[in-house]
Amino acid sequence: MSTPVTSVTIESLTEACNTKLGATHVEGKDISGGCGQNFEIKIVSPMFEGKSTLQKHRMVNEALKDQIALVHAFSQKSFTPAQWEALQQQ
Amino acid sequence: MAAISNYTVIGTDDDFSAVYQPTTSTVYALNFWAAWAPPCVQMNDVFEELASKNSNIKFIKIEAEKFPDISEEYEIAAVPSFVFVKEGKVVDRVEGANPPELSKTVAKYSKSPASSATNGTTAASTPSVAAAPTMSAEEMNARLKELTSSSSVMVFIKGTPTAPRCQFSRQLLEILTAQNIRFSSFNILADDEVRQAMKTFSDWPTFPQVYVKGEFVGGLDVVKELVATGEFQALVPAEKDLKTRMDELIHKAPVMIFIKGSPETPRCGFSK
Repeated sequence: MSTPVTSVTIESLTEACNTKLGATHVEGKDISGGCGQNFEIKIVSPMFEGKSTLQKHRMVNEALKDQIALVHAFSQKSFTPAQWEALQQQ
Repeated sequence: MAAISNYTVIGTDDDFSAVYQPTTSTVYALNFWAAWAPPCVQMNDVFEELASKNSNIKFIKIEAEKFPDISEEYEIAAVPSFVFVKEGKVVDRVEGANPPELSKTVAKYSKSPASSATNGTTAASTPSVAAAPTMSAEEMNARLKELTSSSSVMVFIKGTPTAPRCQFSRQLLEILTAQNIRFSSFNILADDEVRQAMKTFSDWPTFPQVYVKGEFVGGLDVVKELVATGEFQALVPAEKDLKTRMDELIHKAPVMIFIKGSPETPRCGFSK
């Protein structure tokens, strides 16, 4: 069970992705330029298989809802393991 | 951007005493900000936007640390802080970067219509959405349904196409323009009721939001992905150039009449 989040960090976002989205790989970046309120996150998870882009994004929004509400801005890119592999090959 | 007469940026202490007249019944909205606090940047834009829409209130922007005396007088402990003053007394305060709260407070003292929507469009003309008083959930739902389908591509953004107020809205507009897609837009900074209601309506917490043919497509990230895979272009064919459109239209039927309005609702005596 994850503890309630009071402040958002790359670690807290990664943890939520792991536990709630079955993520196999997470890359989080703080692009806030200091104020710690703007994150960019790449998530790889088999749970994204067969989902449309919108569905994947909604899943992530739902899983990270509490944390997204605390930050100023949030960007996400979601991949299935196969998509991620293909990307690495390029 | 054209200078707004009810909006002042303080350069010296004298500027403040020149603008601020406690003896009149004018309401003053003071924005205490600092360049080192990123939330202030967004709020400054919101503040300016509100100034352009509420001409009976005088908006004054004060860089807090440059004017310690004024800041102390209004007991500014943190930025951004917004203080509303009337007849020499502080009547309201909004602390922190809270656009809806600020809009609401401004609306309290404003004599202009509670909310107004402006639509910016690249080419097509869409009737502008009329200002609406507070309405029931049902009415709001009906209004949003109408709004989201009012154009083939309808985007809900912060600001307008010519003056976007957020990097994400700006990026979305750039993508649409690059893809040569005709769209209409709604400025959610100008109407807080719609802004809040849209989050529930779309079940999406942020803006910008994109609707195609009345269906929610997603936010900026989703649109970026859809554009990369070509899905977006399939959803929304790009605008044909004017000559092609004219050719197609002229040849559409054996007899084509170009009128003002529609056969059911002609908009001019001659067309009728």
